[in-house]
Amino acid sequence: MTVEVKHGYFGYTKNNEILRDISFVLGEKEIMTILGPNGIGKTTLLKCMTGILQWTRGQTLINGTPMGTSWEAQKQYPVGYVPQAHSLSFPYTVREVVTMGRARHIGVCSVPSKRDKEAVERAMDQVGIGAIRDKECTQLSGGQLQLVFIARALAGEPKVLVLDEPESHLDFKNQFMMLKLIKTLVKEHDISCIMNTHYPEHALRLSDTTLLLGKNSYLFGRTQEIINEQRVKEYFDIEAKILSVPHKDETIKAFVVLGGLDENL
Amino acid sequence: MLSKRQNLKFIWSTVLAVLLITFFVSLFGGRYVISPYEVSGILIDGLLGEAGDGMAFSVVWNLRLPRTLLNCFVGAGLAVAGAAFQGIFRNPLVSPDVLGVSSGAAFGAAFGILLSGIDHLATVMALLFGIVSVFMTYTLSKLRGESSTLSLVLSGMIISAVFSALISLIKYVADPYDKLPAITYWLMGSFASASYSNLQLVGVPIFLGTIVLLLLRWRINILSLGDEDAYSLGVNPVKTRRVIIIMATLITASCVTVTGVIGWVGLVIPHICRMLIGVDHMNLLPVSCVVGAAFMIIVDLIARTVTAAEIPIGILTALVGAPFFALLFKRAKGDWQ
Amino acid sequence: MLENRKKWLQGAALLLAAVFVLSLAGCQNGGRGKNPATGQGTETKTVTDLMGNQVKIKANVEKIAVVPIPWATIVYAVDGTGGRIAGMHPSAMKAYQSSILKAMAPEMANANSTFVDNNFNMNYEEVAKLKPDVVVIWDYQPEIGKKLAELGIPSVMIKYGTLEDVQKGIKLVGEMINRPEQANALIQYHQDTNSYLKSKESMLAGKNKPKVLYLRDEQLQVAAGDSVNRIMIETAGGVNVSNEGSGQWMKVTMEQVMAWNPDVIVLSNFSNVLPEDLYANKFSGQDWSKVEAVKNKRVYKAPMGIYRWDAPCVETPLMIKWLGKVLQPEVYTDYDMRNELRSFYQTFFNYKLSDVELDQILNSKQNSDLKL
Repeated sequence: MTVEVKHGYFGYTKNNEILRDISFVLGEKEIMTILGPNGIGKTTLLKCMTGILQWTRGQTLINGTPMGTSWEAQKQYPVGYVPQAHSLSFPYTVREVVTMGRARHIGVCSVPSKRDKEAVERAMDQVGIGAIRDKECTQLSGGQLQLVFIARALAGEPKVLVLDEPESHLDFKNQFMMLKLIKTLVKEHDISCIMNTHYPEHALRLSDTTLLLGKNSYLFGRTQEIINEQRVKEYFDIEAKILSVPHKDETIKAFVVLGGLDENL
Repeated sequence: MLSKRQNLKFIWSTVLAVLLITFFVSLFGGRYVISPYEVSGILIDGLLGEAGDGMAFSVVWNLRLPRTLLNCFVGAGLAVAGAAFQGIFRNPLVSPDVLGVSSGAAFGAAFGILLSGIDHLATVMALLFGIVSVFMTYTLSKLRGESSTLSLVLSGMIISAVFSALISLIKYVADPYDKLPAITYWLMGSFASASYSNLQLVGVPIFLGTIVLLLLRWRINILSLGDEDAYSLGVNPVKTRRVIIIMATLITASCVTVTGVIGWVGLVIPHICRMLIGVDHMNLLPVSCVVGAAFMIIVDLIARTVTAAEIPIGILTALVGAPFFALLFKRAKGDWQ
Repeated sequence: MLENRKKWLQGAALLLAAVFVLSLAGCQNGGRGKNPATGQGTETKTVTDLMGNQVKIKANVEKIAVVPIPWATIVYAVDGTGGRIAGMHPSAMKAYQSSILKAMAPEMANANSTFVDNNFNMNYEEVAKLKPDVVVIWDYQPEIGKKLAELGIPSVMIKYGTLEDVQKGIKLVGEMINRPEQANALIQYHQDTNSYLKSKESMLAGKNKPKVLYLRDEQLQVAAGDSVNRIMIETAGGVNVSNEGSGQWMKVTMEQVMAWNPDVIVLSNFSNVLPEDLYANKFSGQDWSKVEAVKNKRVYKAPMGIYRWDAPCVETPLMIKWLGKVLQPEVYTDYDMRNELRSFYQTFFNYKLSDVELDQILNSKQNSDLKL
């Protein structure tokens, strides 16, 4: 399944467009990252793309046809959106939350069927939260909760997974686990993935394509070509150096921010 | 430790048994003393279609049975409406009258009583103003250019306040000898007017609304996540929410119309049920119905039997509900944001 | 910004002006139809109110404002005219409008009924404008009495609830308006009736006493143990079924009524419930068809004279006599209800009752079975 955004415009208020003429293509089994400074509209871009917000102009195409908002369309081309982990109004259990990911497959007046329940178990196993399935979400750590949200998206059996800064509130190790998980999901389950991230390192490590989002412009292309020291300077206004660290048979790229902490910005 | 499934079965059989028991206790108990043996005989006679014409027969079949049935309808209706509203407004402190339906209906009834005493006018006015108030709440929230739950709840508070003031105004101008007592009693709630005819009148909307809410019960889970999450899960929350608001309002307005204002049931019963069976609305709504019905039967049984004078049921539900709520509040403090 | 503020100010000014004009209009309205204060009599006298307070009032009282609802008619009864009643409770005014008193004392229609509200709160400005020589207030309103004193208006407190309170009240009004003979005559009538009723006690002792339910309204408020209606019923030779509760009135369930199963039901004038409503089983949630009184068509609407006979009033002796005819007709054979009423109205109000008016007082249309 391919996802294409064509000339997308969006603004929360009429005269203040924060996204202008955005276009990109996500191929099958590809991972795309969106990089950009805080407040530039990365999350908004994801929401527009998935239909949570409506483009003011432009559209999202799935397999070449405009994405419908109807229930049937949602069911046909499921997009799994994973928001940043947030608290819930009621202390649902993990299983209950993951089950809600099946919403697009369950009729308005129906309750989850056996098939739905199986999908839920599968999704929980995929992300490895089977052990906490009967725990209340209010008792989970931030990392666990993020995994629950991913399982919820997976339960809908999506072809595209859209993640909003999935690793942002995690510690060192868990960040790495998250990247591994995403890689595995894409490899093994035939889905593609778009995610926001604050870490160019992660983009370099994980993604095939990258969209660099700036205030008045953006850049889209193969990650390895897009992310270089000059662009980082341009879009993030900071000097950085990319170092290559050989490890086994691959080369891991590391990111070092230059400049002393005492210097004036 | 019971498995989840067994646990669910156990809770269900317990609450159903409690409802059944309270239902029959309610038929057997009252100020008019009839021996349980005699009540059984009367019930069997009635079921066989042999209408007795004794006073005891009339007490059981024309007073206790319709009243107990109305207890069930109103208790179940208020509880399920409360649970649904708490779900879609994502706030466990919301009650079925959050959009102003109770104060609107109460005003309508008080106005009707002021004009012509307790009769059909009061009933019609109660229903009318109950619906008008929700409509006003909805319109007011739209004036802000959005229909977020917050603006709905705030608009509900405003409309409620206006109608409460109007009720006070009516009480102020009502004749203290002939109208005021009637209005005051009505505002405190009572099942005294229970009969088969008004069971039909309000039973249908309450039943209809409850069925729809029960059908949508799993969807309420999705709505309780908030609009953005709902959209992201492929669900458009707006229409479903509108249907739920209409149904819950219909139920509440119908209840208020025959029984007056009965507070706390719609607020407290869903909480009790959450402790029993968890927060998943798929289970919460049906259990709320059953527990609400049983609770209402018990409270009304107390209201009509303890003393020769009938205790207004609104006072009892508040006296039972408020301390209970305080207890819950203390125990569950961590979970409420 | 400045523009906005200007608009706001204009709006506020307009609003203020509107309020001002309206209040002026209100003043004019209130002031109309009242005589300018006549020459102030300086002579005073002292009366003792029912709470034992010594109250200094004008020797010649001309304007009385009455707060307690049934008391306007007591003043009327002692005075024989409503001329001195400058103000009465809005509910009393409503009762007056629908009673025979309207024909008997048309002058009372002009009385002010806005100086006190439905909740017995005083509108002091209105009272000050009304300038009554004395205000009659409830025993539980000493605060209002104090405030009135500050305005220079004396007030007497009354107690209300029992038949003795009514007699003491009549006496007090007699002293206030310098008509002790009239007051004494009324009290004498009360006492004579009491001794007559007492004389029947022995006869009643052997009688079968019917169970009576005194029903106030369709919400099943009934006369409870502390009510004057219980005294009326018991004196006349019946048993009040609802003595379990304390207080004046209590709301009961239909099931409780059926458990009591009264032989006779008396309907009050506090509501519009009529015997036919019960016969037709009109009220939702109530089943009257099995109740003895309804089965035997013994549901009656209480009479209403210059005031509701359901409450203690100057006509209470007549009410008990009426109840006697309803409950124990073979015991109370010494009088005819119509003659009794005619002579009472003639003697005390100097008013000749027509047959139509008698029917109206006795609710003869509703109570046709009584043949009174």
